Amino acid sequence: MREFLLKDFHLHKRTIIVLGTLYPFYIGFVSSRINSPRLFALMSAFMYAIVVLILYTREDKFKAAGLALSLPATRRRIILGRYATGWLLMIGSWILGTAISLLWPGPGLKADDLVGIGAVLLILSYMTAVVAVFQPLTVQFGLAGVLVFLVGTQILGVLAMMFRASVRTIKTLLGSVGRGVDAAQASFGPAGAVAAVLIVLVLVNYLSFELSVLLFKRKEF
Amino acid sequence: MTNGVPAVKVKGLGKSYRDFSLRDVTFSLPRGTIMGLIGPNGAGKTTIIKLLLNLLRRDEGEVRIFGLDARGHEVEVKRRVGFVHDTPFFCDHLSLRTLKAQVAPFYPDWDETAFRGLLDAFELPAGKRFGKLSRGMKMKFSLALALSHNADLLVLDEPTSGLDPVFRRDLLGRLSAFLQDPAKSVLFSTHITTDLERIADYVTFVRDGRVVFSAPKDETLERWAVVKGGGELLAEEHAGLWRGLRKREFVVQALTDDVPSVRRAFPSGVVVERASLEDIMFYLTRGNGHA
Repeated sequence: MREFLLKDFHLHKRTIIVLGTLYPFYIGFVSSRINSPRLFALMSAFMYAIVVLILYTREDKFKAAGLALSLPATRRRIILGRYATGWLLMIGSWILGTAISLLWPGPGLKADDLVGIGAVLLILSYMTAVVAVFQPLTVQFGLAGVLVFLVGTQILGVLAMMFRASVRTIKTLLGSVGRGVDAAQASFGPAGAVAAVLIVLVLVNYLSFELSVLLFKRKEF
Repeated sequence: MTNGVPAVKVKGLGKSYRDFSLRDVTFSLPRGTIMGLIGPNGAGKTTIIKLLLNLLRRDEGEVRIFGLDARGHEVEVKRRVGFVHDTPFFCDHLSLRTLKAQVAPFYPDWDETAFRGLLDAFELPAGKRFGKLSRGMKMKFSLALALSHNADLLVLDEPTSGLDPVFRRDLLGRLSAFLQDPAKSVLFSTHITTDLERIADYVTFVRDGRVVFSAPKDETLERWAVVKGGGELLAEEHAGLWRGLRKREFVVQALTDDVPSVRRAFPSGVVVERASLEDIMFYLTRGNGHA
């Protein structure tokens, strides 16, 4: 796996340094302005996931998949490398962002809202939700597909917001992740909740990974 | 154990697209030899090479490299293969040093000393960005990477196209030096047939997605001939002798792979000249011939 991490680091070095620094500072700043832990978790998870998406959508431009496929590696391993690099980056940015948030406290969020078990599980859940959808999309469609998806969902979102029932559905969907984490804590206690949520997250990541492998195996270069 | 196993064995390979199909491609590259994959542009040479490297998914057939299924043993096979693509998959904004750092960890047998030696020999500045290199220098860099991990097989896709004769000779010299080790082999696609006449041991000719012939080069050059004569070559009873015909105002030229029959058919004299690979490619492609 080391070779994949190095390959991606060399390819995206500048972007990682720029985005991996700017985003955590931005999140740190935002955390001093927000007073809803759930909104903060959702927004920061999405922002950190975006760093990863930016990297992988750049691969089209750099013909990086063609190079990876010419090297001694199976397609499954190439995708595994993508997921590993992605999670490393997200976790790294998150740790940096959280440290900045703790050092730069605002009136809205307490330390427990940032590093408490509930907050950690929630942010991991949202990250998983974003990654599980976007990784297979970037594998299949690259940058163009993701842009079409983002613009398409925004248009759908605007249309949905024109109807009260749709807004409720979206809120219910987003809230269900948080309620799932809360329910796990209530049912299994703190340790059990961590285990239960982590198992679900690993499973969702695994399913997303298998879908990405399936799509990547069908791709031709 | 491995002596009799060819470096590459392709059998019944097929791949279909909406407007092009590669069918029943079969050839074998013995170890210690160099094979030229020739054919006009769009014949399917790059498709064959991409299928060997699993950049494309084959619809049918079998690809064995060092006796191993190229798909089932992908990592093991690719560790022993050095590749040079027609359009290299390297990022233009990265320096040669960084590109090497991306590629080298994938090869347990990476030879840093050999790589540095090749950069020096090819006069490639390690700190220069790949995108700033000329086509020839890009090709040299790809070759330096391919030669730095003790590969047993080099797969080169059009490495000499668009390059000046000095570099082409230099490259051919490198390939000949690589083949000094009898365990090494080279598969080399090109439409510049003069390069192959210098160094190839085997020639595989591809046209319209099909292998027209795959044979030792010397045997090929002995077997094929260009026949020059008058209108008598066009007689219907001789049509079966020709694999390609070219009519000019006063002269008819034809390609044959059956010289003894030609000599019997025209005892009083037509000119029979040894065909070059370029003649063979020309007549089989444009000479209204039927292979």
